[in-house]
Amino acid sequence: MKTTLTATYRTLQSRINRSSARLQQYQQIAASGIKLNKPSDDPSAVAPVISAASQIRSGERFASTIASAGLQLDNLDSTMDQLENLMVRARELVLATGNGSLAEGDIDAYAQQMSSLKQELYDIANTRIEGKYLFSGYSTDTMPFPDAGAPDNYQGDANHMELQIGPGQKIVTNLTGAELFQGDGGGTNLLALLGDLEQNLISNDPQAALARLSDLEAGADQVRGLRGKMGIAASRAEEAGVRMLEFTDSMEARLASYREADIVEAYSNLAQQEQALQAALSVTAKVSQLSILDYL
Amino acid sequence: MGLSDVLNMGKTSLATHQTLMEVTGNNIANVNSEGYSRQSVELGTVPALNFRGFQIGRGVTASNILRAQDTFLNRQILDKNSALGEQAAQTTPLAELETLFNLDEDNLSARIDRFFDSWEQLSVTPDGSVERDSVLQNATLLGDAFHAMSNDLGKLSQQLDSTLADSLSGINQKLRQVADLNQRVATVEASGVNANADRDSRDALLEELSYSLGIKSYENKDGSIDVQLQSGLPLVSGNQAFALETVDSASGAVLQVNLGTSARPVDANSLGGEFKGLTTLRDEFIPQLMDNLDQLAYSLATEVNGLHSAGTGLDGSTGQAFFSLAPSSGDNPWSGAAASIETVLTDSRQIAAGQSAATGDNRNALLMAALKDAKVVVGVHSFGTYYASIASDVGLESAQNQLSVSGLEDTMLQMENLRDGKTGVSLEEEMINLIQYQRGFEASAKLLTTVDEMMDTVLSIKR
Repeated sequence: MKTTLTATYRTLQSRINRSSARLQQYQQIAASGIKLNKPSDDPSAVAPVISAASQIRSGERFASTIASAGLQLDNLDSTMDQLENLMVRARELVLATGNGSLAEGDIDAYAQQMSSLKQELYDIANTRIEGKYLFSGYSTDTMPFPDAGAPDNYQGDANHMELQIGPGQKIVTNLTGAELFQGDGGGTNLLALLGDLEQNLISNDPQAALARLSDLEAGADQVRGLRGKMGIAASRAEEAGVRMLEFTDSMEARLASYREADIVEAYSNLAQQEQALQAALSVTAKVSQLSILDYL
Repeated sequence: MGLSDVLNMGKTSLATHQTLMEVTGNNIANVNSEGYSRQSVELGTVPALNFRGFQIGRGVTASNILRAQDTFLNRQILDKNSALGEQAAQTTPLAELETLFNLDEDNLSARIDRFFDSWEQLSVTPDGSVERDSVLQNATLLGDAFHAMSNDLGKLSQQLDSTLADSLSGINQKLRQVADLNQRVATVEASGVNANADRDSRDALLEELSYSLGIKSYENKDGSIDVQLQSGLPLVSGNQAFALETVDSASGAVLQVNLGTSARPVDANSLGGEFKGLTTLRDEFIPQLMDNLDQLAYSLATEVNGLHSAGTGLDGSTGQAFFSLAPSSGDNPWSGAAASIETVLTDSRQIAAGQSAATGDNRNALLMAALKDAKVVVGVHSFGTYYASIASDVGLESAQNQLSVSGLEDTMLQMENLRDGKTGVSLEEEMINLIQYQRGFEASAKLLTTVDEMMDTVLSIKR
């Protein structure tokens, strides 16, 4: 076995090639901060990276859905705030008519007030936000209570709109006119009640109006109860938003752990490889210095 | 036997040392020649003569010029070279496949996500025209992504085809050269002289052929070498070479050996080297990827269609498919799905966000958005994870390939160095031989001058 010049240079060249290829790779990693550029860089990381990226996109989408749901629930809540106030005012009005010392003209004025309260109630029931009726179920383009003289005439449907606020997590974001205003399923029909009270006052029968006070209380409870239910939905959405943010953060961290290079490691690899290449180069230079020809 | 005979002996010595110098010089000259094997001179004594009762030698002669060789190493190198060729040929196509099944922000999985995200967005505002348009737009982009990938896979396959076809002429030329060299080696060596240079060039050709084709070779008694494919199909027999050619068929170019009177098809198993690497990619790996991609497109289209046709659009239309797939000729229902998937809907009001035509009905949009994470592809994968499994297959194949290439390169390097250690030219060795032969030459010359002086002495006896 002998050493030939060709073999020596072949070996050195292969080492230098290998070294400089690896050096280039480390330079890229250090410069870009990313160690996973193509699937073959780490095939086992491909599935987690793609799934994490996809979950992050889902998270962003859920976050925007949650924001929309929050906005819708806010609108609903302020409308219901008006409704609650209206119920309080209706009660005060009825109580005031119970005062026996009222003149006939005063009753007329109360009747007019009641009638405008009733109109206001219909307006609230027909609230539109961004062109959509709030209380008509899925039929957001249909006015739920088109006829102020017909409290039983509900044109909307009984559907609840659900929004997805997280994986497998949905919240209801609307109330139907039937449940809120008509007291569907054993509740109080607010529209009919205010219509009756108006009639009582017009026919100058405050006692009949006073007799409906308990109904008025039940109606106000119905409004408060439903408002509370929607409030819970709103806080669920808010919590889901916080959780989604945490989840997205943890997914970002997971993605980074697979994709991004550890800077310290990247730089030390780079330095190490530079040294290796330098060594290979200097050995190559030394080889040519040692020749039998110098001794002949 | 007299002084003149000694002169003659000196002459043979001078001539032989000149030959030694010539061969050494040739070795030094070829120190950097690829595939050159070190040559050495076989020395023989000139038969002795019986003279005055003694056997007296009559000098030296160069009886043959030998070429260093190691058949075992040569065979190993041919073997490993074929394996290296197979892996090295795949590196570039695999890198291209990796750019198709990439991890970018805009890969197929992201497009799929965005399509389903736009349904989720639609569920918030089921009658929004912007949201509806966005669903259609993302569906079109998704279709485009499927088309582009299936198109690129097809192109890559064609490129492999033309690479194979293009390299054929080079290979046929090499086969022809081997046959020519066979002829020359046989002719030269019939006269008892070694055809060293011809054997060197033939070995180099065989190495190249095994890199590209993975051939088997056998040496005959007359010194010629028969070259065969792994299956035993002859490529070179004595001084005759058979050309490889491609014939177009329905499933792409098919390779065959032209045996003159007939042609024999070459199956994939009889190939090695680059050809094996490229045909494996073309006939197995890429079709497999294509099939996976088709399956993904097919599942996506059928699942989305199933949900969509059960829903109702804003315009009251129902039973509408969302995507269309052109029927294809393949064996599986999903064959050709990726290339043909198209959005059927033209009017965004046809999008079935709900199960009724009500403007606020978002039930179907919610179901559609939930489809994103449903395990519906081959029963165990969601669309995203199925894409991930394809991409990681590609990554695995490519990573393994890079590993094999670098391992085989190391092996080749070692074996070439080993072979160089046996058959290569070492300058140190040649230099030392140079000194040795020079001394021998000088000594022979000294012999001649001494004999000359002796002759002078003889002539001066009588004055």
